[in-house]
Amino acid sequence: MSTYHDVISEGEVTRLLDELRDEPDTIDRILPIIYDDLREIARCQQARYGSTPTVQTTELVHEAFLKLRSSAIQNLRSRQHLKRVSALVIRHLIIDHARSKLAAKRGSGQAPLSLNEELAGRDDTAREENVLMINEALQQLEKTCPRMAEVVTARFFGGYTAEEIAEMLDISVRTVQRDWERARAWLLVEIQLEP
Amino acid sequence: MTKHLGRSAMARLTPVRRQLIDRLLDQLLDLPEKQRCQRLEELADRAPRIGAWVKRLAAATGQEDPGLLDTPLHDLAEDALSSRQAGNSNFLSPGERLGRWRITELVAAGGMGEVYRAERADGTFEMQAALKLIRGQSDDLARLLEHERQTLAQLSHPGIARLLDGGISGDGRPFLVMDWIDGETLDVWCRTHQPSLAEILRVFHEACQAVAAAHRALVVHGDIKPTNLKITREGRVCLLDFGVSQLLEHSHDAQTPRALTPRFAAPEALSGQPASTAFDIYGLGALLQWLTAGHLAETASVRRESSLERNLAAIIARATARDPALRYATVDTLADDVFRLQQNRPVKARHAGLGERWLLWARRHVVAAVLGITTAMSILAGVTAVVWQARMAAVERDIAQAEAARANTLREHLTLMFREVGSLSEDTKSITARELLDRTAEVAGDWLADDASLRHQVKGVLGEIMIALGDYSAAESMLSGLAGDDTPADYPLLHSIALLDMAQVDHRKGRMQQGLEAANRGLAILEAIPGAHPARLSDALQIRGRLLRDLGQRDKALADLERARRLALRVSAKPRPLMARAESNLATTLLLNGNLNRAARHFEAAEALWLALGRGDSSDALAVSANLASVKSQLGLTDEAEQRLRDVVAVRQQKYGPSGAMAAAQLNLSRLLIMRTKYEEAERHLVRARDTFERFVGKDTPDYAAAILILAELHEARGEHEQALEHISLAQQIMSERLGPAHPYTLQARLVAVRMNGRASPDAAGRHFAELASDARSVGEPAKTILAGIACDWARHESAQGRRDDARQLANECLGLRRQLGLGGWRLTEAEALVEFLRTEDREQGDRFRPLLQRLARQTAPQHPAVRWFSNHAEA
Repeated sequence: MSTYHDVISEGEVTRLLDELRDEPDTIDRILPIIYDDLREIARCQQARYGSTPTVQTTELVHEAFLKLRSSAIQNLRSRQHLKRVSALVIRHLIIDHARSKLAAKRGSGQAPLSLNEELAGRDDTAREENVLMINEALQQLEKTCPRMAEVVTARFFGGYTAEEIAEMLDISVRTVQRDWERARAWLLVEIQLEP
Repeated sequence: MTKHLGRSAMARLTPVRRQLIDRLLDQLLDLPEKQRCQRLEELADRAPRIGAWVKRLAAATGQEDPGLLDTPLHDLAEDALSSRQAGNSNFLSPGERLGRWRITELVAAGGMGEVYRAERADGTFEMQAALKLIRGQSDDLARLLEHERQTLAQLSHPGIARLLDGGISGDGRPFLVMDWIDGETLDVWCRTHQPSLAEILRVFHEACQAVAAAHRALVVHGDIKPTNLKITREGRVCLLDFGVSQLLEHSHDAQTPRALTPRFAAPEALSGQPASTAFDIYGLGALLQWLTAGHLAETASVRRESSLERNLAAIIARATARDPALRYATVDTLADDVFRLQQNRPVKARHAGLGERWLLWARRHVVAAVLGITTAMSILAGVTAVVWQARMAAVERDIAQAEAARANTLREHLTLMFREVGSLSEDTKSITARELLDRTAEVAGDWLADDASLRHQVKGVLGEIMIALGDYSAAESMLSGLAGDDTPADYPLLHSIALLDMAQVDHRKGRMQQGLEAANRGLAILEAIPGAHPARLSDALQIRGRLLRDLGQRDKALADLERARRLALRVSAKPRPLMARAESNLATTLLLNGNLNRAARHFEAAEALWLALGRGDSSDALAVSANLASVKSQLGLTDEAEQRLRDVVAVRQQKYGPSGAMAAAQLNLSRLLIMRTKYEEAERHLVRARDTFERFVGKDTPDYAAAILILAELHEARGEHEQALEHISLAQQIMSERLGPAHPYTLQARLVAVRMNGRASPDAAGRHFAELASDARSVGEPAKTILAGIACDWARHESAQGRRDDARQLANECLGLRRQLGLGGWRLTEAEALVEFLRTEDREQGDRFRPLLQRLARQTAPQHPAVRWFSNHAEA
């Protein structure tokens, strides 16, 4: 019945991205339901950073998926699909958060002013600025190679491993690695060209 | 080495080029390290720029991460989630109270906050409401809310969810309470119902009406998007959150970005400009696009884009123009277009062939296509404003609501046709209103072949526009048949309008009697329609009055025109074009009747009305100006008259192009110029006027004959007798046939003929003068001016024949008549000089005559025939 089943298929990631960008409400509908799971995913990723993936993560995603299925949000096709959406949602949240943090800083009217650059040290919002910069470069990449961009989103924002990403996107692990390698090069070049 | 490639260079990379570079990079990475260098060198030779990019990217793959990309953002993700959840942690639970409201359930939670279903908690009455709890705190909101609530509460429209209440929650978060609308949001509804395009257009049109109602109450929605519209179970549309966006915007801190949805938000909204109705028009356009996107995508693959689709695309393009000034001015005009789209589908689908041509053109000129439509619209506004004001003024007050609806549809059809025709042109920007009209007239018959009633109406209006532009030949081809018997009998009004229009054409074409019959029939039908409006009656009476006037039935004409004026003044308290026209028609008749002072009064009233209407440059206003010039000229204010006429000719030429009215002004101007002995300039105007009349009204007409008559006078003044005689006999012939032998125009032609022939055969001339004077006397008041002219000319003739007593008597009659008529300037001086000249034999006693002759030379020209005559005969 729902046309959304057909809309989201492999290779139509751009469409999904557009949808999320154009209709933040989609995210707002999903978020309240999967908040806890996403938080757990984030925690697990933090815990496993550098280690092997745990069964627990997969289970959590599965649970979230079941919840979504029962909550009448029909536009998620599979667990893999949910993972892809989750990565996009997390990216969206992070960008949003980074933006509001920067906005808050600017809005405070206290521009960081230091007579001594070295003493001032790293700006405490430098990471947010970097993230926004990467996001901007990533948007360029999305236009030319959406799959490469999704690999970046899943790995950099979603924290998924190459194996998970391969499963999600139904491509080989080698392809994921090569995509990442090239995407990273593109992003670094683009970012370094920034004045 | 590639440092010179700046960011802008990178941005200039096209997607295709990026893909190429990426593929080359991929191939390079497949190679073992050693072969890479060689490959890069090859690349640099073949395509240096692309090679540089690949080299740079390859270098970046081996580059150590500067702490940017290789570490996943898990900590930031955790941060973001925590803060997000913190914002939403304190959901209200069912049963909790907020002011007068008790929470029933959580409906949605999102970026802006949460929405709950709530009910009245104070027990006053049962009421369901949607309670919106806003994230973040604002003290301002409470104050603003108090101020705005009154405005918003007045917004009572079935398509708008009312703002009921508002306040601050226990934890300091502001909340708004709105009507609870049972139904689905538009996005859900679209998914579950899969509505047809017709349903979509209905829903959209309804949404437009709601927004328009709010705009009339000066409330802007500011955030129109699918989730802000609900479709009730009954299928009604309801807009949520009206004015809320503004409320939040005003109350939020400056640094909080507005939560607008880019796809539906106008560009100027995203850049932070204050909200306006143009915002909502953009939002509606984007909504229409969103709603119809699926449909267009589906149908486009099956068959060629239909006219409906291209019209839809045009509507969307106009509503979502980046520049707010290029958008629809009001939601109503947008809704009108959508309405037309709904109504017009079957008609438009027939125009096979046009679609393709338009598409080809539109693909080449996407921007120009939009501009073209705007231009066509403004042309339409300009051309038809006068006609429409009259027609719509009549219609809007007419008793029949149905008639107004028909007129609306008609206007929509016309607009659409103009638009289509305009869009077929390669250079829409330079197409003149006239060309647009002509082309539309050409295709109207074919395009509307299947709808007789509509075709008649469209042709009727096109005919009226042609009449307004003074092109009676074109009007006739539009109207012929329409006034005949094939007009549907169930449209008596339409039939009467067609008859009256045709009467105007007949009039201009010199078919007076035929025109009068048509006018009589049209008026009879009109007077039989119960409750016929004074405006329409006045209009019809003016048409007949003008015909009667030119048929020489002055009293009947004056009666019609006086009645028309009274009716017109009764139509409204404010100035109306109809009133100005009524004044002007009456004035013209008074002028022709020789009642200069009354004529001047009514012309001046007409002029004041046109100015008050802001239409000083309109065709009708220019006609008034030209006639006022004629009055001024007769009152002796020749310089003022000449200046007025020059202006009229210039404005007409520039604004409307050649027309009958312009030619008429040129005739009057050339008369003044001949009097001033500026013969060359006069001839230029006369030749053009003659050609214009020939083109627009035809050769066998009084207008054409008038041009010929004045050309004859020009030749006479220049002493070119043969040409003068040739012209005068033609003019005389046409006028006798068309207007009868006693019409003042005919009398004028006969006078010139007699005057000229008199030089060759003086004896016959005396008889002819007598006949002429007798005919003129029998006509009475209307021919007094011409009678005065006859008397003066006859006096000169008698004087030349040595019959001074007769001459003196005639000169006195001339002077008496001219005084009686209130004429001034050279005409009076001429008569006074003649009287003085003939008063006594003693030429030396001319202490009164000489100054008069000098004055006459000043008022005309030293070489003026009248002045020359005195010199010749004084010496003789």
